[in-house]
Amino acid sequence: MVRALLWPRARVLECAGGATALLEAWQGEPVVVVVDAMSTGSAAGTVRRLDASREPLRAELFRGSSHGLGLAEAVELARSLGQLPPSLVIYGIEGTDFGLGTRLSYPVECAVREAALLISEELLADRN
Amino acid sequence: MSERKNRNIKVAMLARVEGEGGLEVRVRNGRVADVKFRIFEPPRLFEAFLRGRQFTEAPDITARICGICPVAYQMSSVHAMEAACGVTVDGPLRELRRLLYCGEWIESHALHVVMLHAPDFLGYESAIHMAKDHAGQVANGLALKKTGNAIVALLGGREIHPINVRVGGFYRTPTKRELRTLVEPLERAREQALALLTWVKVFEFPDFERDYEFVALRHPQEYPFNEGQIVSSLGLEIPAAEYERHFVEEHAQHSNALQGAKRAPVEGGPGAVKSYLVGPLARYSLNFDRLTPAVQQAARDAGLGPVCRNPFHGILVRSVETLWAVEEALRIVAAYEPPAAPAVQVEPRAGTGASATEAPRGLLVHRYRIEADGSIADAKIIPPTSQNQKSIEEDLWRFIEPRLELDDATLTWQCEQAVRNYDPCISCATHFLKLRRVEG
Repeated sequence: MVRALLWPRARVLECAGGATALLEAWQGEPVVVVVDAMSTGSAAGTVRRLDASREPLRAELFRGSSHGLGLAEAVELARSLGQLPPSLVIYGIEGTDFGLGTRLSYPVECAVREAALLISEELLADRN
Repeated sequence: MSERKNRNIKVAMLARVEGEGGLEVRVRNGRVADVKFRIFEPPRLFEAFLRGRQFTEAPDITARICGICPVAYQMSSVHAMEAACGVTVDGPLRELRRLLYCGEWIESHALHVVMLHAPDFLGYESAIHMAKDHAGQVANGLALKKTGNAIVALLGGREIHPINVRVGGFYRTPTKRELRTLVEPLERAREQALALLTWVKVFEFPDFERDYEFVALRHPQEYPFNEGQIVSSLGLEIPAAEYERHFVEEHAQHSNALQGAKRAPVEGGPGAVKSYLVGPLARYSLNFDRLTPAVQQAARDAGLGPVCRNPFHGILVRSVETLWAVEEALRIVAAYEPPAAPAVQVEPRAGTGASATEAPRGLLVHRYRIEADGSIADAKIIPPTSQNQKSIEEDLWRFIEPRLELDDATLTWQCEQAVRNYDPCISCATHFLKLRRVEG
C-alpha cells in the first residue's frame, strides 16, 4: 500500500532479515520510516509514532524476534555504532494475537491502512 | 566470600539465546542437587503437519522451523527424501549445496560469536552495550554475517527461509558471473574471519573440560556438511538410516523439547541412556584433519589443539569454522561450472529415507516414510539443541560445584554463559511434542 502511494519518490522494502538486515537496508538513507508490530497492552490497532533519532527505543515495545534481536535492538545497536539515519521514525501497530494464523485481525487491518496513509503524508510533506 | 551451602539459582528467561528457555539450579549442603534447563517455548508440531503433505514440500515446510538455520533443515530434508527415492545429487549441484551451507554457517556463527556470546566474555550485558566500546569488532561481525546472508540470498533466493531449494537440487542455478559477485565480499570476509579469531582468542576462558562422547558426521575427504557417516569419539560409525537404533528421544517434564540421548546398554543395562555432544566442538574434534592446513594453523595459533573439550572454547571453534567456511566458499566459487540442469528428476516411491547434515549447532537428523504417491506418511526431525540438552545440564552440574564461593549474580552469569556455549536454538528443539491429556 505504501509502495503504491509513494512510488517512485521513496524506496519501500520488506525486511525479514532481522536487526542486522535493517542496519544494511538503511545505510546512506537520510530519512527512514520503519513499521513493525507492537505489543504493549494497548488496544489492538493502536498506531504509535516514535522518533528514534531523538530518544532510545524501548525493547519492551516490540516483540523480540528469533535470537532476540528485534527492531529496538537494531535501532540501539545502530546508535552505538554511529549508524543511525539522520531521521528515523518508527510506526508501531499494536497487535492482538501473535499465534499461528494467516489473517490480520480487523482492528489491525484498519490500523495498517491508517499507518500507510500517515507515513505517506509524512514522507510527502518532508519531500516538499 | 564464604560459600553458602544452600542456594537456588534461577534465570526465568535466558537472554541471548534463540527461543524461550530458563534455568534452575538447586544447591543443598554444598552440592548441586538439581539442574533443569527449562524449555517452555510452546511445541510446534512440525512432524505432525508434515504428514499428508507431498515429499516435495518438505524443504519449504521444515525451513520454517528456524529463521537462523533454515538451510540446515532444507538440506537434511532433501537428502532424506532423495535417499527414500534412491537418488543421489552430485557434481555442481552438490557443490552448490555445500556453498549454500557455507553461507549459513558464516552468518549463524558470526551472529553467535559477536552478538550473543562475546558479551559474556567481556562482561557486557548485551551486544548493544558492548558495541559502544568494541564498535570495530561488532561492525566486523556484522560484515561477516552480511556476506553469509549474501551467499544464502544468491543461492537460496532470499536470506530467511530460502525459496530456491528443492528435492533434486534447485529451481534455478546461478551463472558463473553471478557466483563471481561473491568473490570480493568473500575475500574481505577471509580477513574479517581472521580478525574475529584474533579478537576472541585473547578472551579469558574458564578452566573447565568434560570427557564428552562427541558425535558428528565424518566424510572420507571433506569437513562435513551434507554427507558422511555418523561417528562418535567412542568408536560409533553408522549411516544416518541407523541413527534411531543408537539414539533415542525422551520427554523430561521440565522441557517442551524432547531430549536426545544415546542408548547405553553396555554401561547401564537395557534401557540405559547417556548424554552425548553434537555441534562445533564435536565436529572439530572428530574432523580436525579435514580442515585445510591454513585453517589448522589458525586454530593452533588461537590456542586450540586437534581436540577441544572445553565448551567455553566453542566461541573459538566457531570462529575457526567461520574462517574455514569462507575459504571453502571461495574454493567452490572458483571451481564452479554451471550444471546441465538445476535439478535431477526425483520420482517418489514408497519407502523410508534418512539423512544427517551438520547444522551450525550440530547434527540434524531427518527421517521420512513416504507413500508411492509421494505423500509423507511419517516424519522424524531431531535437531542438535534437542540432542544437547542433557549435555547442557551435565555441564552445569559439574561447572557449578567448584564455584560455589562466587556470589549469586556472578555464578548466575557464568551459568548463563555456560548455556550460551551451545548457541541453543530453542525454537528448533520444540518442533514437536506428543501431548497426552490425563483426565481426573
